[in-house]
Amino acid sequence: MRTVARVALTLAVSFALVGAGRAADLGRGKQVFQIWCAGCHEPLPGPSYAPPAGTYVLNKRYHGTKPAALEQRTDLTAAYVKAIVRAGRNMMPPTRKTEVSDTDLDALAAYLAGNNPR
Amino acid sequence: MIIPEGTTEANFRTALQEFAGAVGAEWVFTSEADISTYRDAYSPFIGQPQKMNVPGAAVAPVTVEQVQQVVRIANKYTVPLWAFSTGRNLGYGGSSPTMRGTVMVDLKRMNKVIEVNETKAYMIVEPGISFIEMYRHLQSIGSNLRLSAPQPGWGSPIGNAVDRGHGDASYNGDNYSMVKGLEVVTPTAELVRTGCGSVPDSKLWPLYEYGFGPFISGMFTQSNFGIVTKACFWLTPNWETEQTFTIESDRSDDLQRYIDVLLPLRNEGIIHGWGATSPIRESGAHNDGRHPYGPKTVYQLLHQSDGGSMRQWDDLGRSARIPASRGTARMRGAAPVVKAQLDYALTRVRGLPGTLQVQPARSGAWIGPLIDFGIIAIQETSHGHFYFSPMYDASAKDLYAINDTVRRVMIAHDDYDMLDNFCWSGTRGTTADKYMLILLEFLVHDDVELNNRRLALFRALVKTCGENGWPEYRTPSYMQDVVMNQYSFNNHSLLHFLETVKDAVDPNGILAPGKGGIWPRRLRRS
Repeated sequence: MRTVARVALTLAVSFALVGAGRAADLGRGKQVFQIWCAGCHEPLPGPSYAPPAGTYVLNKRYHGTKPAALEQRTDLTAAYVKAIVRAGRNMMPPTRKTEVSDTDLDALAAYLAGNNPR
Repeated sequence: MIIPEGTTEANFRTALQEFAGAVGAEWVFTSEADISTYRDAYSPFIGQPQKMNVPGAAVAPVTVEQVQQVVRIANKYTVPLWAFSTGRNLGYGGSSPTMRGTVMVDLKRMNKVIEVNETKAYMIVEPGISFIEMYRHLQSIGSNLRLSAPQPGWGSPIGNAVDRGHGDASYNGDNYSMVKGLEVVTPTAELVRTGCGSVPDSKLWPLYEYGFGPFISGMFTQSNFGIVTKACFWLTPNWETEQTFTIESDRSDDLQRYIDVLLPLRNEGIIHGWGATSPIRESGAHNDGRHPYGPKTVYQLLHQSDGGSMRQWDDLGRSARIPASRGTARMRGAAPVVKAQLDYALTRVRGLPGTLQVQPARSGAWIGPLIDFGIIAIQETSHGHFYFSPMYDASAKDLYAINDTVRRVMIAHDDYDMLDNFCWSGTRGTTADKYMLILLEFLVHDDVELNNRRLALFRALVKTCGENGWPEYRTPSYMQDVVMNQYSFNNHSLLHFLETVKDAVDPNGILAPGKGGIWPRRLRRS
């Protein structure tokens, strides 16, 4: 018997074993992003017929003043990321604790806020 | 805290304490912030909180035994439960219940892959695993098997199948058709396996779905007769090549000729998917992701009392160089076989009027959407959508008739914005078989009055289409009664039978009251 959670845990542990705690967080954060966020927030144009929904909307909102793809943003804070993930916003539905745990949300927030120089 | 109808506050609070004892306090959610994550994120009742079917609490078991415990406690205190796998059927109400105050049974933590059998091409899984998680799992074990996934992949194979949803059509987009066995916790907390799953230690559970005696798996789809805790799915091997061709003409009358050739090819297994549409009629639609590409005359014809004659549409198509009829076909499989299928199919198609185009073969299996999620974003909604999704006979006569009926209802409601957004819809080539399906997004807006007008339009469309024999295949949680009312043969004898079953298997009426339009005796209105 095998669970996705166990697979994910194994991967997270393997990052930790290389001795870089923050790198482990970023690694897990990137994994969480890829599983839960990338489908709507990867860079334009995306691999499919229509654009990634989130990036498309943010591109229209920012008109080039900020990158529309979240991984390219330099102004995100961990607190903001966590608030939006849990509450949802506009077309983005809220994400439950059974989907992205508080621990994984910390890792995701650290990953997306990682480019913020503040 | 919202207390559900028919439950006392004292009983509700006691049940929550006992739920915590069963699954652990951290997996019982009662705060407003946590409960909010279980609401319908795309509810058309935005701004009308009293109309939203907000849950009373949520509980998240991780084992079958915990699910049984939760059900026993619910029976003890008459607390209604609404189970869901991942709750990402966003256009159909998400995880939200049909009755306010219902306790959500969140099965996301039950995400085990019990077995993947490469040779026999099946998997046995729990409800919490998502399409994308299962896709990654199959990749991690080097499997050559694939699922039929709707975008954006965070939904559940079990959840989608038991809601009778569609995927990207590996060979057959109907996900429930790939389910070959279920494990179910009944409303009285018994554990049942369907078909050969009821034979102790039998390997036949995922292989022969019927077993012996009545075949009951379908009773656990779109119903409130049990909580599915495992399912056996047949999977599809990745294909080597995908091949498509289209045939188009400038005559609306040719559409039935195309169907007359493509449908038999599908019946014979020569092609694996097909579609039929009228591009000139669709060319003004805002809701297909390509933005309107046709002439503005499209709207003039749609607004005419007769919706435009065949001749008018054909003339418009010729002047705009957009076809009046288009048939599409798709084949998937090993390259030499697909080539042979194409060659044979073309011998049947070449006699048809119009222009034949054979697209370049596409190597490798790919993950394609049934509805591209990004299309919804393009439509300028801040709050998502819900689907109007009637089925109709796979014929040009029905295709033209249902589109004209939808048009007339929209005009009767003076909703020309909706009509211009929709225009006309053929099939998208992924779900058509012997029936076809319209998938029309009703966008949700900030304007409460507009949302209410759209809800009235939705109900009118459901009523009128039902009277014409075009029922919904699926609907949001708040429209269950409206849609069940379409299935009214012999004085609603189907619903009467289902209510009889409900009262027998769920004597306390605790599981998903109102789902499928089926209410337990204690909550049933006349």
